[in-house]
Amino acid sequence: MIWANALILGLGGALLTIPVILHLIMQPKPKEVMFPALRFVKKRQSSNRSSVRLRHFLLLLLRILVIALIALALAGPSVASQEFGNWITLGGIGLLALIVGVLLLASLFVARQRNTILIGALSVLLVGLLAYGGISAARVMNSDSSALIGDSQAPVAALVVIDTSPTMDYRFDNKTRLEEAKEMASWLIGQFPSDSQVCVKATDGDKAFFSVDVGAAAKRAGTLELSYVPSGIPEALADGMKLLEDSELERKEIYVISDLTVGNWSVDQAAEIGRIMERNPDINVFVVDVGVEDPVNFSIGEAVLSSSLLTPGSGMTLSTSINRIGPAERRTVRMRIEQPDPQRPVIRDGEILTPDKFWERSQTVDVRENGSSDIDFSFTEQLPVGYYHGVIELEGNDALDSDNQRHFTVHVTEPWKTLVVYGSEVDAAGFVKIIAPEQETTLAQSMFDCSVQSQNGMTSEFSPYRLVVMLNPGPLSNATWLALEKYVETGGALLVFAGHNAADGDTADDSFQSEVATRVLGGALTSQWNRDTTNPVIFSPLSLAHPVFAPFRDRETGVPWDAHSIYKHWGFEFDDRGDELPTSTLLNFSDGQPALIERQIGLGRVMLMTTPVPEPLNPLSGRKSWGNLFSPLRPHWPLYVLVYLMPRYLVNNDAETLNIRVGQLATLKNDRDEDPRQYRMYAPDTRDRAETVTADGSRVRYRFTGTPGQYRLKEGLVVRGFSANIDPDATVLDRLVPEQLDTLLGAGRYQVAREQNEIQRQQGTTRRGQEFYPLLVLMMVLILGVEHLMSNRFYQSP
Amino acid sequence: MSVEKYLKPEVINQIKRLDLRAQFVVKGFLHGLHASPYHGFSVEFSEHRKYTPGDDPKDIDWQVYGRTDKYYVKKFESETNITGFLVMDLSSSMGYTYQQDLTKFDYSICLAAALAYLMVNQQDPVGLITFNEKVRESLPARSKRAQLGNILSLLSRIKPDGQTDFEHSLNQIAAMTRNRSLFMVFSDLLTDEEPLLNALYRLKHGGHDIILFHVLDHAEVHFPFKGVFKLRDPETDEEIKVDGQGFRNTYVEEINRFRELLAAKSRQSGIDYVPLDTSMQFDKALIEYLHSRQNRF
Repeated sequence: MIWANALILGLGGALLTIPVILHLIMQPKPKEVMFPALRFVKKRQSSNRSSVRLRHFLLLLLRILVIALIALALAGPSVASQEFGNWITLGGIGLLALIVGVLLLASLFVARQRNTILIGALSVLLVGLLAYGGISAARVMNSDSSALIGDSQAPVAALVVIDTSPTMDYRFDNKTRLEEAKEMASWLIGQFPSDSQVCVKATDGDKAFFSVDVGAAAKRAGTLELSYVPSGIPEALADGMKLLEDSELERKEIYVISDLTVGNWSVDQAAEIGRIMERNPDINVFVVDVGVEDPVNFSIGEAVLSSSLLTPGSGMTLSTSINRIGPAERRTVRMRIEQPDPQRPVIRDGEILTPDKFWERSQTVDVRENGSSDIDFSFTEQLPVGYYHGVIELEGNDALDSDNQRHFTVHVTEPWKTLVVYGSEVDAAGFVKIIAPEQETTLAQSMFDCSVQSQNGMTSEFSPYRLVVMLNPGPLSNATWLALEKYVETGGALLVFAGHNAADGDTADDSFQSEVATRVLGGALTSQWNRDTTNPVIFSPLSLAHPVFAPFRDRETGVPWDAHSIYKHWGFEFDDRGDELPTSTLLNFSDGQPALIERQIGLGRVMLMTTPVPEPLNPLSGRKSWGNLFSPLRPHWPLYVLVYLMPRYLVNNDAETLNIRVGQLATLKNDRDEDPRQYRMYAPDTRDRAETVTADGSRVRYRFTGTPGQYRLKEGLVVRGFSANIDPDATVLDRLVPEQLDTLLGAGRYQVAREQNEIQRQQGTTRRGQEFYPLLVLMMVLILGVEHLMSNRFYQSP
Repeated sequence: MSVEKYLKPEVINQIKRLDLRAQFVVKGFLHGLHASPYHGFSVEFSEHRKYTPGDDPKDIDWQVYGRTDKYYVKKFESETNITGFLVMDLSSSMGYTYQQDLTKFDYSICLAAALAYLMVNQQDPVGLITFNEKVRESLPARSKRAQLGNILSLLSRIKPDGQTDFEHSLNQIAAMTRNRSLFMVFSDLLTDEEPLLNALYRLKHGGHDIILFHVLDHAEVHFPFKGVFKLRDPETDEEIKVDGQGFRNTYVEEINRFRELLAAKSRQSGIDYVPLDTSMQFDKALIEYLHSRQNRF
């Protein structure tokens, strides 16, 4: 607690003696009246006397209180607003104790009959109140932080956090929320005393720092732009508050200017912020709300491509959803895919010129009130090999622009050359049909261009192939294993289904246990696990996190894994060099043995399934079948899907990240022999000069993807690229509820304002502290009233 | 305005002459009586007398007029005569009032005069005794019309003064009267209960009837003081400081206790106790008198 005029307090203390003296020497003379029936008065004189005394005492008490209150009010006490409540509670307790005390006195000395229960209860209450008051007083005194308040012109260490998340792009009153926030920030910074330390912090992940002076801070606030990769306000706060903590200035204030949408206010950092807030109870926090209560908006959801990797004839499908906040409305959605133009992109007059010819598709959708409509575009144009950029966008005006388009990039390549090698008694055609269905092959839409060879006719030349599949292979020579190892190391993909051909009796052939085979497969095949046909094992996935299980994730409990009965499988002993060459089990059998193993070697990957696919139910040679995998009699879609996806996964192992979120690292393949070493990067935020990007080994990496849009790499006639989009969650316009803000900043620890005058008022309150003056004057008036009433009753003229 | 207004002390205060006061009080009283159980007077016809101006024309006997052509009025006589004594307390406390029109003494005199008027009109012999520490003056009971004048002149002459010795005075009175009489005592009874009651008992035992008009000032009954007052006893000059509102209930409780005690003791010993205060109308006292008188026969 601080005092504006502490001297007055002493003076007031001296003045307190006045009513006492007046009371003692200048008691007004009571009116004298004749009263013959005085004998009846005399009989009850004792109660009369104490009543008169109590009234005198009360009157004296009231007068002392009035003077004390005047002195207090003039002394101008104030406390930090967060402690105001405590002081009020303390005052309330004191007042209550006073009232109880007077009641106790009255019941002791005035009441005609002493009510011991009442007296006891009042005494207990009084003692309790005094004890509680004492404890509260001790606590209030301890937590008193008088340092922060006082002169409102003292310099301030201020952290101005400005929300620059994409939702701040929302346009209302012909101003985006960011423009509004910037205006508010400029005004705020203009209010700070000139030698203040001001840190303007955007939610863009940059480190917090104090600007050189107030002017620089204002300038910085004026130049802030939307950040599509917002770091979150809590993070910005945590960062900036550390700066404030280190400041030597006594008064510290934080202003958070935000639209209070949920996206940028994750509560992950609540604990950290809570700790900092607790360490610094003297930091005042103001939340300036520039948001819109009832926003109206259209947005496009995530654009989901059937595949970003296409073959010239394969065509593609793009699915997305149109979401609406507000009343039902009809909108046209347009999809455009750029037609390649070898001259573009090019920078002219500070502007990137991109291809201006498009394949266009458009659809009109009706979106329900606050609803969402799904929409699909299919595109079957024959595209030459290359990179294609496209955009799907909403036509017409909308308050929030940043979620009205999604960009995408597809890569059209020749089909992948695939070598399918089969062992004896294996029908490779069934497998080929799965990975490259006949109708796709005939329409040149298939991603796989399969060459099928029997193991006997196989050469060790694998390099022309993107993928090598071995269906139930027999023993392989060490040379073959070495060739395979080299092939995979340099980026090849190997898929092996081990079956009866690998057997030598009940155990696996030595060639599947050799050192090089172990290196390639991630371990050695040991012996066969036989199962009774009535008690087969089934597949039992460990987790569905791996990409090949993606289609199963949504229907985790509904996947009929038990449709596949497995009567036999190979035991597998893991290679003890798993640390050097990562090996993982993707799928188990229900007996706990590994069914599908993945190993990474160099740039490539190997997958091994320890039971054969395909496998006939009744093998011609009369041997026992290994399982009913691909049985025509029972549904077998889980394995079908798995077999369909495994080659794609292996081939895509070092797939390019053509469609990323803003802020993510983009990686494109770059053939050392065929592709250029350097490119010029035309990013959406490129202005004057395209940056040079150098390939790193067989990849081109680019990390400055902070702006949504298309990123184009160009060197000569080679044009490549990728697209970056905002996370749809980042443009959710739902607003925080007060409880969430409480969780983050602590209830009662911050103040919310919308208008400048609100901020000014709250600033005044916190800077000077909460003043007791009005309250004291009010109490004084009340007590004066009571005093007047009482003295009038006392000394009124008859 | 009806003559009943004269039953109000504040109205009667405007009339200075005591005889008129008595007359008006009684007129107002009788006027009000028509609706009451006390119809007329319990008197019987005794003789005719020649009409003289001033007689009530309603008393003219028209049968006699029819026979004789002369106006005669019927002369009535009480069935029985009560010898009444108005006993006035002269103590200085009786001269007290607090914001009322009449002091206790004035009120008592008005009441006494009205009763005297009533009694003389009924040819009841009526006398007057005044006392403070002892009996001061006394008029023997007479029923003549002139007696009213005597009583009224004495009443208008006396002034309250000094302290009261109730016991001594009543004993003196008891010794003075031999015939069975009705004593109408007007006093504020601000004395000790024991001797007061003893004296009353003695008087009652002497075969007399007593109507005890306990006249207190309005303030003495209702304690209307607000704020702090210093109260002084006019007889003893004692002073006490009181807080009006705070003490009111206690005081009223105490005075009521005293009045109830007197009422109870009086009831037990056949004394008619009439608690009055100076703000009350006179008819209450008069009705009490009639009631008492009726009960005697």
